[in-house]
Amino acid sequence: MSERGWLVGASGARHRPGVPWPLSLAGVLLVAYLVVPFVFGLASLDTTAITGAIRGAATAGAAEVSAVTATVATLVVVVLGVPLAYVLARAEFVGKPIVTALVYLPLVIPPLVGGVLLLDTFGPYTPLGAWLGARGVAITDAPAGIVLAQVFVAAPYLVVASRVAFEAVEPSFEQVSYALGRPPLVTFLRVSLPLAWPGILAGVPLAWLRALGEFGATIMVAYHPTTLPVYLFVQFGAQGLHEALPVALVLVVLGAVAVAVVQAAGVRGRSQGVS
Amino acid sequence: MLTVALRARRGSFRLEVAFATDRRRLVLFGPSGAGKTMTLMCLAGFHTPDRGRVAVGETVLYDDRRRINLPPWRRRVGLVLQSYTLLPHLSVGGNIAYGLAPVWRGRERVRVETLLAAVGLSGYAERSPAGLSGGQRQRVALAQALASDPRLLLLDEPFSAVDAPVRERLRRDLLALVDAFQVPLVFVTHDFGEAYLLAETLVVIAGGRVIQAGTPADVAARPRTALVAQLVGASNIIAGTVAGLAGTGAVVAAGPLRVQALGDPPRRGASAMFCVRPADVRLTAPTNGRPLGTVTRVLPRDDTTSVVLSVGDLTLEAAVRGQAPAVGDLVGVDIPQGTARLVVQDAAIE
Repeated sequence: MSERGWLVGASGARHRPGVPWPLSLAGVLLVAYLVVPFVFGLASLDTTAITGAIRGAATAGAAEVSAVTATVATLVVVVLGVPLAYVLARAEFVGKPIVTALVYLPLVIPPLVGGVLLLDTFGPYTPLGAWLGARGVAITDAPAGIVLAQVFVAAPYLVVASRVAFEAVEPSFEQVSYALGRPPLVTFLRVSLPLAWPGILAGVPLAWLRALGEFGATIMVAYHPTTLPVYLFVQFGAQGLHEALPVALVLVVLGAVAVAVVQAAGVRGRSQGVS
Repeated sequence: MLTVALRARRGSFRLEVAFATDRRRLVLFGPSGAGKTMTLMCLAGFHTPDRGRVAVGETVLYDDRRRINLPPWRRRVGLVLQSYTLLPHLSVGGNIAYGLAPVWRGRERVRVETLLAAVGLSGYAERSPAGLSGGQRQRVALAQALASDPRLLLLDEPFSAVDAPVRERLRRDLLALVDAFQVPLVFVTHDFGEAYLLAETLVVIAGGRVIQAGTPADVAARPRTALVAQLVGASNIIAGTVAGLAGTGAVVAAGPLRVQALGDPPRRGASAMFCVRPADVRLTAPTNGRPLGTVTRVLPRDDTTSVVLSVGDLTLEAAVRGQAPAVGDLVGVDIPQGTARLVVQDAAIE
């Protein structure tokens, strides 16, 4: 192909476009900054502390609570966030910049404040909380409250990633689908969504990890059942910093496993032609 | 029968076009930025005009007075674009099946194979669009558009990104396809050769207006304005004054030239413009009594040589077969009777 001609050197060998060394250096510096604290922190731990922490977290059921609530929260975020992302990517309406800003809002305000706002909305002494409570739906100190807190902080990650993914879908594909007699919802499900899916999938682990690590809003809304970050805080309060640190290790491993699973699924999807 | 009358806006661009045809193949032809694609988008329902009416036979797609504006998915128009028509996540067969009209339910496989055979790609159903050549992709796009049993096919420069020999085949096959499926066609192009081949009705659009419409032969033989003359290849456009009237035209004096041009004669003494094809300009030996020109450029073409001349203050191009003069040569210039046509300046049309 002639458009690849510039990649072919005089010897006929393909040259990869090189990465300039300043870029590599910047990348190495950032990775080092992100990794080094973990190395020093974990080096200070001994194996008994780690096994004790894992056992403790398991006793508290914190890992399970975290994994389940983060997964439910991510599902909620996907079901509501993907449509919102499509609206933001395709629709023109008055106040669109305001809605866009609102999506970013949870990133700006401290999660603790987000938790207070959620309490003011869903707390037992609010009209909504009382109404729900009368129907047996507990929000505060319940898994539902944890999910609410996690959705609040995790939604922006998925919405932003999905919006970018939808905006990258060539509008002519949707036009052709309309012209073939497929109404907007069918076109969304059979054209826009499959084409944007790899980009949306990139936002899913972001949202899940943010939900998993969520602490500030959660501790305001639901101290119980204990999630890993809350358990970490409890350990820190009760036994000090070095008893809390191994719990962080459990969190890191859980997150790493989840990212690996999603990436493997993404790679399989691509090889099956989903992308 | 297709009737279109539209007034539409996009930013500062204003489109105001009206045309109609009872023939099957209509070509919208004009320079880029003329409003051809915008017209097509109004027909497909992706751009809403301010006012007007679009009807295919008895079916009204848009009528501002009757408040009819069918959404694109109810218009049943097949759309083929220059690229990005085929859905990349579906196979060739999947793309065609995606477009199938509901009447084919239960007979999808057979219909897909029929359509693939019609575009000369039998057995390609399982392939991925990414593995096809540009020409094959556009064939599948045509099959996809036909799958929906469209009442109108809209094609926006569908062959522009394809290699020239393949493009010629695609044009001929499109003619056969339109006849076989008996579907009316609106085809957008900026290539006059393509427009000439495909059009039964040719609509020339520029600056958001229809500047001429008719059969391609008629438009080519009788361009009405300087721009149409330019677009159909009568690229020598010379301004002068009317020196006399002659039957169905006028004698126009321009520099050393006195040319008898056909067309609606303006009044004597008025300024006038005529056009003449380079192939109609004859070069002779420099003899007395003939306007003389100096050769300033000589450009080889595939079957002629383009010779650019200075004739007084005028520049004239001649397409010469066989032996061409050299730069600096002095030649006689002859514009035979019946080859020049009067045209009007485009700004004059409103």
